[in-house]
Amino acid sequence: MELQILELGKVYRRGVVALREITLRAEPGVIGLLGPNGAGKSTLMRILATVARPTSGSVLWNGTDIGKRPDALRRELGYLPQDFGVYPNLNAVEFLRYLAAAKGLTGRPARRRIDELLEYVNLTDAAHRPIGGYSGGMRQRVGIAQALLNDPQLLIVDEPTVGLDPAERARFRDMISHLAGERIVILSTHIVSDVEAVATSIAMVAGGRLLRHARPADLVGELSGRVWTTLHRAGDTADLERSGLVVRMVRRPDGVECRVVSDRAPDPSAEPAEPTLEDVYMALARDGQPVEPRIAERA
Amino acid sequence: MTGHYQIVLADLRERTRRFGFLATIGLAALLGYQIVAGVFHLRLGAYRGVLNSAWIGTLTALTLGFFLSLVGFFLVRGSVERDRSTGVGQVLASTRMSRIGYVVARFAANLIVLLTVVAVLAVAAAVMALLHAEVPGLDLGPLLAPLVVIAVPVAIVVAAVAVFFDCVPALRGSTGNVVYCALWLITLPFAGGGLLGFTAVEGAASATLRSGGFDAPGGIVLGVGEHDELTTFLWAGADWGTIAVGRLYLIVVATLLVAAAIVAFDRFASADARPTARLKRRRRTAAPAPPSPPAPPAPGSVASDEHRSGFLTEPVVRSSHPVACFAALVAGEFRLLIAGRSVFWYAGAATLVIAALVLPIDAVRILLPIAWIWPVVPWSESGGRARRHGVDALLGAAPSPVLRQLPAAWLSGVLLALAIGSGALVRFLAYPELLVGFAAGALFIPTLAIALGTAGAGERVFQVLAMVAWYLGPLNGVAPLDITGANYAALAAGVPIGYLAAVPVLLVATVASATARVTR
Ligand SMILES: Nc1ncnc2c1ncn2[C@@H]1O[C@H](COP(=O)(O)OP(=O)(O)OP(=O)(O)O)[C@@H](O)[C@H]1O
Ligand SMILES: [Mg+2]
Repeated sequence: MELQILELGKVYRRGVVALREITLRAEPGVIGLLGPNGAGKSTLMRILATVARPTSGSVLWNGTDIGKRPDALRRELGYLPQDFGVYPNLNAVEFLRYLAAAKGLTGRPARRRIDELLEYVNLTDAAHRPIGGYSGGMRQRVGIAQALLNDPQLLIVDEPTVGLDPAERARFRDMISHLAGERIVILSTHIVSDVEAVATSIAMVAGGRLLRHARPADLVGELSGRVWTTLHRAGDTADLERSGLVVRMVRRPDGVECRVVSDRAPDPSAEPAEPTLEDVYMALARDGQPVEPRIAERA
Repeated sequence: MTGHYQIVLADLRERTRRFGFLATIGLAALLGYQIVAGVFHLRLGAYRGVLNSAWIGTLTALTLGFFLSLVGFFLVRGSVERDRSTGVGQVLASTRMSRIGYVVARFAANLIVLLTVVAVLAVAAAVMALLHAEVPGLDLGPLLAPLVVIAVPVAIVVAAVAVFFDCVPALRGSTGNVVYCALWLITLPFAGGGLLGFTAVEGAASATLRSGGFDAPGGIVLGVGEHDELTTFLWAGADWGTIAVGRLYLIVVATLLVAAAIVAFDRFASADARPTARLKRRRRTAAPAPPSPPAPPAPGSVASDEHRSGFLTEPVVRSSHPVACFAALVAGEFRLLIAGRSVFWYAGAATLVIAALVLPIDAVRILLPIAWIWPVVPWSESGGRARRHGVDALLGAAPSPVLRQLPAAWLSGVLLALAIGSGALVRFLAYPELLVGFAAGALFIPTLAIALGTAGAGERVFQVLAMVAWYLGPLNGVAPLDITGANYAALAAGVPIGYLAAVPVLLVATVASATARVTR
């Protein structure tokens, strides 16, 4: 099982370039797609889900070009779009049965699968109410359930946890780590803690470019020795902010604690700190450039 | 006040960037061209005015009033509905926006759109006066006066009716579309003359004719076709000032309608105010990060198999039998057609079936087209439903989205026709010559609906087409529009066979346009 993305590019009408030359190879496991708003995450996922076409490049699923033969992938695909709707007059069971039939699944196996999925996303009690009356998070869970209908080999979920309450969020992450065994899961988010724990690898995207694709531990390792915390008096941080090195500021009773990514200590009182994935993300989003791998070697 | 001005402005920006607005301006320009090219004619019995600025202005004004009263309504209605379904309404409702301000702003935006159409037609009229006038020369006063006196009040009333229909809960959405169509068709014969200015022009033109020594001119007719044999007379325009005063009551009517709309407007507070359009998850704020999940596997590790026990144990059969799947899809599509209608709708459908079983056969022939108007709203949604509800991305990721889903949607539409026409079908079995008409209606009407929906035409287009064809065809005996052959003349002329023949053509076009959409 293998997904290969080759020099993928997408230009929307009016010349908006959403993706530039993305090349990436995915193997079973969870790929966390991280990037700021407008990075091109959804565009990439729509192309992988065969609902949009690239303007250049290609995607191979087990060696088959999905631009030419999309059905080869669609049979084994689960997709949760970032923006999707429901038929408000159907209840969850009816809606899922309808989508199951569209995916080529019906009868007793479909019914049992739907029951199980509804149980799994915690909607059994509401299953026979029209979806139009669901809360936002409940609808989101219907979306998650439909993505799993056909036991997909490739699961693409675009900001799946938005709108979920903390308990449902944890449940979802749990589910993703369970599912990830022998399938490929691609999960986009701009909330680092969503993928930190579950991702096998992290793909950082910004401005339509793939900045890095590596194991989380490697990404974090690249920053070791380059993260500092330093305490300033409130109103005294302007210089540091202007230097553009600050990735996070936390207000505390005794001043403002600044977290800084920099090769050298920003000031004599700065203390070295353990790098986190959040630091990597912030540093990348700040520079829009790959983190220098030589740092990793030195460390 | 600037706030309300902003609402008008934002609304106008949104509307003028939608394809529908461009289409309407295009349509208006086309209408103008038809007038310029002399397709429309205005006559008074056996007389017509010499083509000078005054007559051209009058012709344009009457044509435009007619056009605005039907198409204009569908052009501008729905802006409140759009605010409701996109959720923008709830955002506005949480501001200090007043009900009066909001409704008046919507009315004003409606009016501006309609006045734009009037302006396009004014230009067309001027072009005609320059190119085709029999009395050469452009005389702006007599050309524009009828547009201002006749067409502008119609625009004002239509803008008010549209905002009224948008604000009254029972008239929102498709129900209102059908109600407006019905009202328009019913009131046109007796109230239309006054509203649309025909009576006033008829009076003035008759007076002109009589003062010129002609006698008994006869009624005013706006029509299409030859007019060369008509006797011409010189028309210098009516006393537009007096006519304008006589039409002031329309302003009062419009004011009352807007006032009623203000009273009816619920400030997006009704129970079903939840946005029905596709979920814009971007708008919602993310929940705070939860505590770590119970047992996160180490990054890079593969979840062990024992984790999988306890959930999703059901082995998945990835492909059931294709026929069973298709049947399940048809059932799903049929459910989508009839789910969520009012009790009144189901009762009406049942009544139509039963009535067809008991009435005399000639009455059943007239009843059948009525029965097939009943599902016009569900039909109008087919083809565009997935896109409208934002389900298209879910369906597009399933195998062969077009070849599986489209035939199922089409068949469910035909099944609905069969279900509601079943009473008539049983009766027609005894009259085989009537079956071809039945087949034509049952196949052509849902096919047209899904073809238009797939092409992205919007629900109103089919609704209006169906209503107008029904009114003109079966009810008024215009044979080419009598799809089911409710009148013997249409049946004898083979009209239903023509429609049957069109079904495969439409289907091929529908599959082609759906495929083009999916693979974009
Ligand atoms: N349908 C579209 N037409 C034109 N431009 C688009 C379209 N969809 C996306 N874009 C543009 O492509 C770029 C990438 O958008 P995309 O939705 O893929 O970003 P994203 O990473 O998913 O962002 P977010 O985190 O906000 O979801 C943006 O600049 C956006 O403006
Ligand atoms: Mg996105």
